[in-house]
Amino acid sequence: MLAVEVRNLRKYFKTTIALRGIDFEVRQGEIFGLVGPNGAGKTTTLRIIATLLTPSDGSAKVYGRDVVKEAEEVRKIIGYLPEEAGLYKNLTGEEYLRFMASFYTSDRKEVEDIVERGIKISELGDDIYRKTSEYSKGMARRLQIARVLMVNPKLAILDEPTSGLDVIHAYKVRRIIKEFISQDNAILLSSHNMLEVEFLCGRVALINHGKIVAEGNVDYLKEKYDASNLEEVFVRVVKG
Amino acid sequence: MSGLGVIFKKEMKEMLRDPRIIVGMIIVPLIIFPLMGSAFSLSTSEVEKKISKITIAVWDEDSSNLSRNLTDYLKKNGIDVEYVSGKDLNDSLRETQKMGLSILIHIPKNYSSKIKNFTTARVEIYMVVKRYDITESGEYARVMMAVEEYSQKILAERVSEVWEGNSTEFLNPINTSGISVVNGNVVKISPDALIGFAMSQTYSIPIVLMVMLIMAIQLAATSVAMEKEGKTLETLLSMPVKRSHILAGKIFGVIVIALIATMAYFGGYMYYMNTILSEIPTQGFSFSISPLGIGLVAITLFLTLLSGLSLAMLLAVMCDDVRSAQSLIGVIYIPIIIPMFITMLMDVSSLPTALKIFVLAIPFSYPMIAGKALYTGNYFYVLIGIPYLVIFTTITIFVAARLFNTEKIFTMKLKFQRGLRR
Repeated sequence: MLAVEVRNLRKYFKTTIALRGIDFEVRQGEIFGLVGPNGAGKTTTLRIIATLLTPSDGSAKVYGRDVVKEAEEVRKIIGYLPEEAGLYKNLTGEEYLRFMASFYTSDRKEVEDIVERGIKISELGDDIYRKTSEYSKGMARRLQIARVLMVNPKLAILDEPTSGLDVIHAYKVRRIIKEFISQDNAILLSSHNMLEVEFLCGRVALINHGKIVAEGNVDYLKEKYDASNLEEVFVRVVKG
Repeated sequence: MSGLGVIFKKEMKEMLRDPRIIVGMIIVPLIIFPLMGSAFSLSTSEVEKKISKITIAVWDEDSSNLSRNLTDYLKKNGIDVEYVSGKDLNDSLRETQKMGLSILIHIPKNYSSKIKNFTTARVEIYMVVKRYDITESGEYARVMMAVEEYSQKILAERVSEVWEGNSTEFLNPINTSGISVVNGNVVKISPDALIGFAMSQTYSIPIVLMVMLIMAIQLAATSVAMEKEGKTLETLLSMPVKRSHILAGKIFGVIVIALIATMAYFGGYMYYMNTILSEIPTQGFSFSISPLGIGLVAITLFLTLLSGLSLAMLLAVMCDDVRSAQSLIGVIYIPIIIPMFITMLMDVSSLPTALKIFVLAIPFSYPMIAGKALYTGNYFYVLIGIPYLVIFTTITIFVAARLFNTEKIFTMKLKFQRGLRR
């Protein structure tokens, strides 16, 4: 079954056309990258799949569930990490994970198990018991990634997961993402960091001005456009 | 735990850990009002002590037995007298001030002759006003009262010269006494004293309810705006929880905190009011408050809170940060403050028709009307208001829930924010 199925997806805001009819699929067991510059439509696409925005036209399905008609069902099987995700500053990291875990189950034991898994993924050690207001940006991002992955979502949607992080923290986050993927789930991530996408993703879609301009396996795209990396592919595609 | 319970618990935890809420809304009212009460009581007793024994200057140009009778009367009444003998008024005033006194009584040369001739003698009381405070006005009132009492004494003496009977009865042909009837029972307290007492009691109810509503509305708006400002809303909306549960969890969290804060405020405020009202003579009378009245206050307050908080959240959703949200919800304060002032001063039944309709159209009026009805026992307007409140509250909750269910909660922004930020 396809993890994500996007068909002719369009999104208009008052005076802006954010998506001009895009199509792509994410298969189970793969990390799929949505790549493009700022304002290309990556975040809008992810927000629609995460049920936060409604499409103006077209459809998006997560494991066969429509993101508009079955939004509540979709939310149960996804984990979404926004590009700018904040934390509740008066809660500790552990309390934050517990709060988020409580949405998925009312069973105390299961909540404890989820939180334990979250603490492990975050690799925050004893810092997990500190208030999140005391966290660095990197620590906060690791906690957020842990929050998404601890519930074993069937689809993790990660918007610029390493944005603004230093090399060490970005490396740790990328490793966590790589370790998470299995045959039972899928990851859809967006990034304007082409090298990161090349490292993480099996397949990618290059998006520009609300349209997908190229899609496929990273190696296939490099070969097709005679490029040494994804960045070169993107430049060649965009410049024609 | 349901999604609503999870949100409620998180809201409680967040708010109770916020020092601004704990200190500003709970601890400060518990300290500030008793402090104000103590300061008031201290300053009142200080004023009483100061005016119980005062010294004034007398410029007695008449220098007669009759003028000395006046100063002797003042002395008997605890007002010490120091004589000044300036050549004119300014000179006497200067002398008065040199002596450190602030009140000068001028008894003119013709004083005794006017009294003897049964005409009106003029006595002028000058006050050197410096501090513009309650002590000065108390001192002046004390001297004025003593002179007026002395004038009454002369009048009684004049009457006794022409009338053989009781001069006091002659001067008071009708003796009135006011007695109040409350709920069919005769209460031997004059109506003005009773109304004064009741107003002092009912004054506090609209104020406390207004403070509570404003506090709760601020909390609700802050709670939503914080989610936007702190970039937590996007995550929260993607969680497997009904949007209506997010709204309800936040509303109930705010209501509980607002109730705790109100109890603190009410406790402190009542202490303050009791301190300043302890002087009102009520001869042990107190109003009996019925359980029905308390129930109606609770119902109207709950419904008003629900609609007020839904409105606050609706407005806060349009803002990107807490500061903009707090500015925007200022529009809700107006329909809270207006009925507070009106119900403080008048009962809704005695308002002119147009004003009555205006007050009754404001949903936030009803807890205040119900609060007043606790004392008056007139529940008519409260009872007709409850269905109106139910309809209004249902509409506001419905609109808020609908908004929370759409992407507008996420995308709606007011243009004026940019202006505010600058």
